[in-house]
Amino acid sequence: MSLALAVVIFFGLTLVLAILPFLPGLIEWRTKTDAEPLPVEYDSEVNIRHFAMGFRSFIETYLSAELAACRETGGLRDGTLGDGSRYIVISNGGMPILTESEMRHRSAGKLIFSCGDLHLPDEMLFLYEIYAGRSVQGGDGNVYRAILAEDNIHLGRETMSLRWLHAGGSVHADSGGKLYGRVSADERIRLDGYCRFERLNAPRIEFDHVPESAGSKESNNNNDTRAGVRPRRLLRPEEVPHLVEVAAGRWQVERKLEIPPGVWVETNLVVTGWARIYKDVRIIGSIKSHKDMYLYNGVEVRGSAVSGRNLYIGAGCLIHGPVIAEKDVYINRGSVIGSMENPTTVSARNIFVAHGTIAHGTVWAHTKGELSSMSESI
Amino acid sequence: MRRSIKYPCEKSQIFGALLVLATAVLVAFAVPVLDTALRSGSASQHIETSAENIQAMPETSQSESFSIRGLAFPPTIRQGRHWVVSFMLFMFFAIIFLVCIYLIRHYSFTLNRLFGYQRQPYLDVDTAEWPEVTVLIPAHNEERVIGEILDALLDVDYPREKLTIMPINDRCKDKTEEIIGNFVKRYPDIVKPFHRRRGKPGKAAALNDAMIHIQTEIILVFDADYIPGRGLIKQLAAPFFDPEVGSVMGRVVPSNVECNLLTRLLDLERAGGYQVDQQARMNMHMVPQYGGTVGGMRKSALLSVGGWQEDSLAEDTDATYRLLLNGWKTVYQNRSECYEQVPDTWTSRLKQIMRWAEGHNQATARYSSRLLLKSQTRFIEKLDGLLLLGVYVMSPVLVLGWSLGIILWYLGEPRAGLIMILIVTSYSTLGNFAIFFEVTAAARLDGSRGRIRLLPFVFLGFLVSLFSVTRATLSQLIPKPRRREVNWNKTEHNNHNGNYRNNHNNNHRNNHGNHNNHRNHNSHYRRNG
Repeated sequence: MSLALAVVIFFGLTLVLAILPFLPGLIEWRTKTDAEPLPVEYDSEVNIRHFAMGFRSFIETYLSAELAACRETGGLRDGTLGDGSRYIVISNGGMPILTESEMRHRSAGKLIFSCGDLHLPDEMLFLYEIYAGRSVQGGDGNVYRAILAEDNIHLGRETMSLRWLHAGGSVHADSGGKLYGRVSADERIRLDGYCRFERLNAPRIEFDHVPESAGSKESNNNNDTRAGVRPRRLLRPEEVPHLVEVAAGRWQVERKLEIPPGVWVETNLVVTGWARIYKDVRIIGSIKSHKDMYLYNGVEVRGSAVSGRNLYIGAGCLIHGPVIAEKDVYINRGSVIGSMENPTTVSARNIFVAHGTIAHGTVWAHTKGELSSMSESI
Repeated sequence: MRRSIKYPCEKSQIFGALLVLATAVLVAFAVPVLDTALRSGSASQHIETSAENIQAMPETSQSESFSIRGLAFPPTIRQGRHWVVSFMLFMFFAIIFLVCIYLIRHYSFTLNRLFGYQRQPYLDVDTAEWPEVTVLIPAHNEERVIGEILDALLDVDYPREKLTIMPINDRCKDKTEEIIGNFVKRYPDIVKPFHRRRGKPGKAAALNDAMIHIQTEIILVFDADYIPGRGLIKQLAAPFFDPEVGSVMGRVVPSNVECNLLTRLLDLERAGGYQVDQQARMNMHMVPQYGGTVGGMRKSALLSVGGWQEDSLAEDTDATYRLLLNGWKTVYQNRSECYEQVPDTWTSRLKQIMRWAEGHNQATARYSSRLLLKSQTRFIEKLDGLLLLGVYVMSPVLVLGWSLGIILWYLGEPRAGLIMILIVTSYSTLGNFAIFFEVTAAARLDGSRGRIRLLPFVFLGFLVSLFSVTRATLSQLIPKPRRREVNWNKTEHNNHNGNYRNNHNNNHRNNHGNHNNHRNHNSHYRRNG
């Protein structure tokens, strides 16, 4: 082999090796297989009712005639959708007709539509969506994929929902329920006993039994003015140890913040360590702590409460604004979050709520929400 | 649209970059001569050289010439070079050290983004008593786009009584004012324009003048060529429920991706910069950066730190650091996405990157020492803040490192592996914010498929950024006879928002037409992100 040929081969191979990594890129550049802008979605993420509304519009598009006929003449209809899924349409107050195989396997493999009320048997797995023109009465121990009811949904004991539930009226889950995914109602949600949840949204969310008047505007106002709860005096900045700056409507505190009981504060509070807000303090503003925050019994926060770690809310507290913790939130008995007039959000990795608590708006546990009994105070 | 300075044309930019490179190479060859001039007489000291590279070794007479790596050197070269070479070696090691710090930084960001806990504490706030918000749209001759952003803002999911849209007509000479006027007639309760007839030029000055007309505590800023989605205002307003948050930044998503190779590379770069870099800084409690658009400010916080700095070339970076120094946090919201038109010509890209570099360097000069000395700022914020300030300075440092590598090699420094280390680490580390690991991770997190194949081409963008930023930085070091005026400049585009519209409409249809939409794979990947 001549030297010239060797040099040519050497440079040729070098060139090939240099170009090789660019080849897939060159092909992609010319063919544009993945050149669409990144989809920017909003509704599906933020709107808790997104899938329920999508399901409703699907029904209106494909099954409105069937449901109208069912309302007029009653009876039972079944069929197959375009994607091969089976469905059944039943009249008001009926129970879905399940095949022998379905009953044997305790598993219903079809969409169920009712033009009125719907009663569901116990101990069944419903693999597809369920729709009721009025209310759904679920049996005990069922597992649901998704339910849309124009009126109320009542879930029996030990029920599990996997994706979403939406009721035009209220959702009521008996003890032991595990409500994964989204649960929303246009009026109220009530969880009894020891339920688990992830994402709840309703104007009024009751954790176990609470008095009907609790959480109302009148009740909150009474709470403000009841004897022994009204804060006695205004806290001044010079009384706060470790206060490093008072500016732009906030007090900035280093390391730790302790607000003595029975005072009120008219500012936003930011502390780089932990915060302990003792009994019956009123904060007319928002509060943020980098570490754990303890709101003792009867504390009222007119703004938001934000913690970089855990947030402990004592009994009988009233938080008007969003409650945000980067780890866990513990809410004790009798506390009220938000109001009917101004619903708000509770958001944390884990949320533990005691019986007798009310939230208005959204309660969103990223990992786990749990309704359980807790001690009366922290 | 961003504030900027008039620049020469693209050819001169490239010429400038080549000039820097050529200078570096020339310096490498000129060093022997310099070395001779600097000799100190310590003739007994001599450099370590590898035997195979030196044809005439120092044991020859001092009057004889010798050669290293094929280059002939005068005999005096051996004399007095000890401290010069030592200094260069020290510099070289220091540069490798710096580059490795950035390498570690970007590795940690990427690993955090892929495997760490993702902090998005305010994203879930979907129900609240929303604060009153003013949306500012600084506009200077924006007749082509102002109508679209106003339409989009009028369609947002935010309580009408809490929303004020304030287009800032900054001495527009086209039909911008007329278009704004039409919107005011139709929506007088929401659209409340600010017509600016005189005053200092520049976005910061326009924003400052508008401040006195703002009645709300929360201010959001969008450039006129951005199209906010329906939920964006809520998402950007939510972090302000935290009383420590002074500013918030959303994610910018290119809409004109398929335009050409540049837009596709910028799409990858933006993904790396936002999806990984910004979000990792958010996760690690570092310093996410307010970017001047698709973001917002708490008015009281901004006023307490002196408002918008009118003489700043990058009012966004400037505001980020002033807020940080005064104990306010900047929050990055990765899911608060907004479409933008990225530059689709290399000319506008070069202008953009140089503008950013100059503004960023100005902030570096102003705030790095103050940040270092600020006792109340946490260590991790100081470290990240300083490294962020140094991002653009690293480009000329890198060019210097390469030059030193060549010079040392010709001086007979045998540790050629060091040069390779520098090359590999610099390749892996810099390139504006778009780093190769980060780009790859971002594509994975975004659920992208084919576009990651373009990754080798990002090297092109890296080189362009490197030399553009180097030139911009060096030009700032040269004293100027008079202070340059901050001015308006717009990133030029050949087309407008057609892609966005198509994409937006498709999403809209998909979200409402199919009840099984939640099985979307992209959603899955990005939700995990």
